[in-house]
Amino acid sequence: MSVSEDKISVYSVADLKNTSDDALPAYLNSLSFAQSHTLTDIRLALGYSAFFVCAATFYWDYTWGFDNTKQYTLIAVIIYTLLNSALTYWIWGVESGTVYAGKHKKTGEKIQIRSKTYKHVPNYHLTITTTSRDGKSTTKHLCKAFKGWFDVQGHFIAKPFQQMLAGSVDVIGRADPKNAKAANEGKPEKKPKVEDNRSMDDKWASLLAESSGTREQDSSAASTATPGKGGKKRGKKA
Amino acid sequence: MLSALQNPRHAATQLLNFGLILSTAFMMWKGLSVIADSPSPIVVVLSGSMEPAFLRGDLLFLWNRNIFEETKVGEIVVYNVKGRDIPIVHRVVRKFGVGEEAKLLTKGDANVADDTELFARGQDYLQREDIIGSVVGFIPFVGYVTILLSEHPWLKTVMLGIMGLVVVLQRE
Amino acid sequence: MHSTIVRAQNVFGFFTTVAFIIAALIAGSDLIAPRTPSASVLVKDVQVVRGRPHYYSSKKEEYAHIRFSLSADFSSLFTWNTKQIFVYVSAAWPNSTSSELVNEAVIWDTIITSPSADHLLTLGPAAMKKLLKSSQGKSIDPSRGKIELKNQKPKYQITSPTGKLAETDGVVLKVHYNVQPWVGVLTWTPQMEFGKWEKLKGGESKAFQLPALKPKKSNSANKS
Repeated sequence: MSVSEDKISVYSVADLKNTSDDALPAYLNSLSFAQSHTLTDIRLALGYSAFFVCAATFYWDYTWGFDNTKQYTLIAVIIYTLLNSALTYWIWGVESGTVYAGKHKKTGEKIQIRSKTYKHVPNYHLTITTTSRDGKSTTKHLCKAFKGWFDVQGHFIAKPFQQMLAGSVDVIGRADPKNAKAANEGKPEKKPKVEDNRSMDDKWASLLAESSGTREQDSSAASTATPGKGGKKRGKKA
Repeated sequence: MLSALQNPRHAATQLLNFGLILSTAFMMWKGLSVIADSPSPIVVVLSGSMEPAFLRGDLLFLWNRNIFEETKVGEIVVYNVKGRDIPIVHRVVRKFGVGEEAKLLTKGDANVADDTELFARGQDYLQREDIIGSVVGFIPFVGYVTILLSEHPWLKTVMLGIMGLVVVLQRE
Repeated sequence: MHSTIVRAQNVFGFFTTVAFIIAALIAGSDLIAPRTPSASVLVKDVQVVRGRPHYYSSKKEEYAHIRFSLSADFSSLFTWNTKQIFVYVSAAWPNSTSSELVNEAVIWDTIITSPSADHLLTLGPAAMKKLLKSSQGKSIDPSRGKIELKNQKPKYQITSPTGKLAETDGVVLKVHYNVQPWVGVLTWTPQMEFGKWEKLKGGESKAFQLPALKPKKSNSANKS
């Protein structure tokens, strides 16, 4: 699960977001979170009931003609409008970009993650609400650049994505201590961005040594331990 | 993108998005039909018999309710003739009597003769029930797409195909 | 996928939105253009003759042949969104059971195009040349809205479904118009004042009676 086979266009913010959105549940479910599909199921129920109202209308209109059925059509139009408004409210007001809702299997902590992007800005905005067992909830906003977990070709790289999450959200961090640790150790190193390549590569390489990443090519600074893709990426970007 | 199809909820959502686009379009059409009380509240002009007012491909909005007054002489109406599939858009030039039983005669502005010849055998006049609406709104040319589509049916298949592909393969 | 289809979609969507908004603004501009039409119509000569609806018909019906004079000013109806106006004169008369004018038939009509719609008319080359010359260089020509007709022959001879028309009383000639826009709402002679649109001043003749049947050499009066 390190580098996905699919490639996306890195110029499409929608593609970046969708791929990340899809990776979120996959990651959290692989930890001890149980995903709750209630939000999606209600959305599907609303949507498909609206669709079936429409299908029924189409059927009677087609079979018996407009004039014979217009009272029913009027009612159907009203019901359809109501269902569709409810669906719109559900998507914008209730789900509002929720990509994951779930519960930790053991601790019972709840987590809900909403994601958002802005036009032409390749940043991933996350709103994470965690609710502890005693009902105390905390909300955290994250804004991370997609380039943290996409390479220039548009491959999604799971490790930095997971570290980003594990390092920023306590509930996830507790469920995935390995990634959380790696992320937290990596933090201070992120600051000296425009230093010379070599030292950066070295630092990244050693930092990510424990993360078993596939590697496609050795970075120029291959002298130290095993260079992860972090190192590779830095080398390319500089 | 294709991975979406592996997850049933994803697949169901994707399918729903496509279904909702189609059904919303259909229900908007039906809503308009119910409001205007006409089986076909928007029609495309197919002939030149009302030139220069209406040309082939112009889009007409119809209203089929008589709230303030009855359909009267001078109105442009769309009517159906028994045994003819295609509705006709012409102007009412004569009206005798009132109510449902009123006898109406129509004529195309560009035609020399009135519509007696176009009516069914033995039919001299139209009645209110033959009319599916009076023209109230006009947008030029936009309906030409449907003329193209009906004259070249393969275009329909191509368009539907492209629409389906775009919706299924893309999430916004 | 991203760069081509999405871009094409965006461009098309933007184009449609802009076109729709512009069309809506143009259509809305009708409301701010004042309309002050006026017309007066006089009945001249009226005849009622017997004839057949068409050549092969054996049915004999009475046809009224109404000559009239019309003086009208529809120049205020011509704006940048006017494609044509359709002016028509109708005869209206009551039936035996009510005094309301329940029967109405057009006896004369004309299409007055805006110069911008002249090319849509089907005219002979000479007439077309004359028309184009009349408002050369103008995209709106209100002077076309002035109509002066003296003792005009009707275009359509009218009859009734019963076939009887002679000596009908209470017949009235009415002038109407229908404004056909380039885009937007079609409008007819208003029944009441509406914003800047005034009612048609005049436009109705005095009530008159159709004469008795004219004793006649059986000349078939073809309608239209």
